[in-house]
Amino acid sequence: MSDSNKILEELTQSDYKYGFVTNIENDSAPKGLSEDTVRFISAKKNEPEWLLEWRLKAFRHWLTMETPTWANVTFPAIDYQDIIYYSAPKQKISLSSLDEIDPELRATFEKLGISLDEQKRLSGVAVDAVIDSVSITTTFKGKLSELGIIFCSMSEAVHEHPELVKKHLGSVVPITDNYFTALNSAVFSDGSFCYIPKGVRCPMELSTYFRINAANTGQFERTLLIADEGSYVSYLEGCTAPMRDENQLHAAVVELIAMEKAEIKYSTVQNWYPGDKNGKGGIYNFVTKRAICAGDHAKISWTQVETGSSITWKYPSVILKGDYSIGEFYSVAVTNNMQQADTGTKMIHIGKNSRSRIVSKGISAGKSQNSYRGLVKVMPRAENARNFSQCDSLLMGDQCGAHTFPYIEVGNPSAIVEHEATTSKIGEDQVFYCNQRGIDTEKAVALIVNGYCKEVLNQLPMEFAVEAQKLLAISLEGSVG
Amino acid sequence: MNLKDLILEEYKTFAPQASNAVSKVLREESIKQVAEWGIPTIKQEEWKYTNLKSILDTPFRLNASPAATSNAIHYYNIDAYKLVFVNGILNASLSDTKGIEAFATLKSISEAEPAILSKYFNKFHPFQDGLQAANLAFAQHGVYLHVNKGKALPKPVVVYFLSDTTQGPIFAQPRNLIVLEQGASAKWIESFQSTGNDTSFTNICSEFFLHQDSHLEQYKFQQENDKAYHVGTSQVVHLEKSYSHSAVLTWSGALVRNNLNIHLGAEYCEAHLYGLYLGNNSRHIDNHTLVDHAMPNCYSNELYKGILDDQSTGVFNGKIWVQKDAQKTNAFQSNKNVLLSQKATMNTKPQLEIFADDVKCSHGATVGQLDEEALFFLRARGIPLAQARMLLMQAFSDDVLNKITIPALQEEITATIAQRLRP
Repeated sequence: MSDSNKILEELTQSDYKYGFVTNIENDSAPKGLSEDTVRFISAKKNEPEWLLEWRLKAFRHWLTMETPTWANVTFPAIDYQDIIYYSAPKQKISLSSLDEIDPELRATFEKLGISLDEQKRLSGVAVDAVIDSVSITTTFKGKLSELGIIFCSMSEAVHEHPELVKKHLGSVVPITDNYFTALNSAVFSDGSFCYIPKGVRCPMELSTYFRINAANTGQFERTLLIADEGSYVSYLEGCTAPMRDENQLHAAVVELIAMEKAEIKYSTVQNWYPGDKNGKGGIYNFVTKRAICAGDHAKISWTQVETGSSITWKYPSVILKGDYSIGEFYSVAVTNNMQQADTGTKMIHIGKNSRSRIVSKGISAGKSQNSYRGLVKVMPRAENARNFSQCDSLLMGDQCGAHTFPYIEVGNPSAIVEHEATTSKIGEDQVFYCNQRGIDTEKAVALIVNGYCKEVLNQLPMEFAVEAQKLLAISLEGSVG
Repeated sequence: MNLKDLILEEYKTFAPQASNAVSKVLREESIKQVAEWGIPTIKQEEWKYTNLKSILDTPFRLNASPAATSNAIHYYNIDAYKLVFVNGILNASLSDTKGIEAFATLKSISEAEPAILSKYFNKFHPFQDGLQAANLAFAQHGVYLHVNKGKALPKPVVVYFLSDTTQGPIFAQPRNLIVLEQGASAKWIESFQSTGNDTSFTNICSEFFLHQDSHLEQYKFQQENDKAYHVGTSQVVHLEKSYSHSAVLTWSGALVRNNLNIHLGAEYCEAHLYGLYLGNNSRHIDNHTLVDHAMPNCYSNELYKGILDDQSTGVFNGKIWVQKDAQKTNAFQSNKNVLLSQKATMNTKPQLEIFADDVKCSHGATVGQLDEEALFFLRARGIPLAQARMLLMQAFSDDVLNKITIPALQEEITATIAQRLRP
């Protein structure tokens, strides 16, 4: 027992690896939020009139809303006037090749382990790098466009593919959806846009890497991903931020649309700065992610590994509108120290024979609070809908908490919905079994945790699975008892 | 006038003649809460799926005690002590309490031994809403049962609550307190019935206080008519090594909300919770349970099952709290539902909140339909579809019915349920 206590204590001391700050000159909006800020951002990005109107509408709606308080997290009220809503790294006007990117920037991404060099083609991942909510560069553009795939920053998409953006932006997550989407819609600065044409199987993983760099900024990016009929895409998202003493707000919106027989696989490794041991600093990650299986036989799969953020508050959801559509949600959420996570999913079954599967694994350590909050809703016309949910919690240490709030609403008699949840700690007998076979306690704990998460980690694309496993290992680093 | 105003208005006439069962200060505070919070609405998380709005404008009478209508009550065919409430007020002439040593009304005990009330009354209230506050403000009609140290009540106590609406809609608010001393044991059965064709609304609260090594079995049978609204709260506070066994069965009433709150306040306690609900027509049945593990080494086990037909709605919310000190907790919860019709709805929310690490907790919830293969098995053996379905539903219900430990009562309730499930 004392061994594992020690392990847990040491676990809480492992450091955040990505906490450096890059010295890049920034071009920022003044602090504060008003209609002028919204106009400033829109003008800065040279946006068409309709988008500005859309933003203003969202902003006006936001003014009428109140901060939601239902989540199982506590934090001091956010002063929305004390945030910089737009911050872009200053760089030369336009880039024709990657060599022209600010070397500081490139070094940043090198440090993060993301190579923007096309030489690293072998890794086969197309990256859209977003720093302080502005897209810096997108790799492999040419190769993708041969197939008709559009993969670019949101601001580019607004100019080059306005018809697609106009049609789909806000169609899955309306601006009035909640407090943070309204805020995001008003001030979003950039993000990734992706369109996969009919019948195309995207040959490589697409990836966006988000980083908050400047102080006092909020990051508000917007991702829109459309998979047309019969297409397939696998999309990765990673996030880090420097260590700062104040809390920074990240309120993103991600919208996925899968048409008939299309498949989208969306993976996230979220490693925002979680704050220090005493809960000082860290990112507030208040993100709205929602996907819609708009056509029959569409499939959407969310996989997330959540290790960062001082507060995580997000529910990647799937609206199963098409018949025979499939929604999946795989999640590992690790909280440590003073971190709080309230995360889960929503599966809304509308189409007949729609199926969904939820596997959520929570690990809480230190003084953290980890909640699973999920909704499975079967509408009356969703004949033969099928859901299976499993949410397990692993508790490490006696100061932390694990909570489960599953909502199940079934309105069709042919639906089969199952939910099961367990909560436990790492069994002393399991550790003993390993010890007996010459595996020391630290390795044993790592082994057990890895085994516990396997079901989810297996869902990640290979490149990410390695990163995720490393992340879990970092959390357990130096935990020899 | 809506229900909230009726309650506030009635309080003005009630206050001067109120007993000391509840201190004047607490009554005043409670009625203020009623004024502030009102009747719960679906905006409140605890009431998200249960809407009382449709009856708020009913012209209820709050202090109605019509003549005893003994033949309106169906008495169970068991040997038991008998208590009869008509519209929330104890009717002594219909009751039979001969042989119970310590029995009184809340009102009389507050006059005779106020210390007892202050020791046990209103000790655990995890959730507060306008209805519970109203019940507290008006608490004086109800019984106080005390089982002395080491005593076992020789017979179960059956309490019949009759809603008599022959003279118009009524609103009743009984409140009971049951205390089991060290090593005592008792069986307590609440039966809700109604007569008349008007709307009734029962807002009841029963509190149980279990001392060391005591043993409680409590049952709640809801068999009012289709115009009856019922919001009931049962709270069980456990002290060391005490044991409780609760079963809540609902198969009628228009809207029924059962709250069952268990507080495991000392080590080595054990609580069993069972529930069965059968919905048909447009019945709405809501079961909210809470098992609060406050101390280490306790055990709780919960099984709620429901069958929903026609346009009925079922709600289940089962909370398990494991507090920081409650190491070595074992808590299990299971909620199983069968939907029979296109328009039936089930909303279930099994909820775990855990703050200790050395625990074993699990919960499961399922919503589905009768097993096709089991039906086929029966039909292949010449049993008609309707009967095969009934057999399966009976088997489904038996898991809970078997938990009624009084044989004669089990038989009678099982027969009643079988009658209900007959096609």
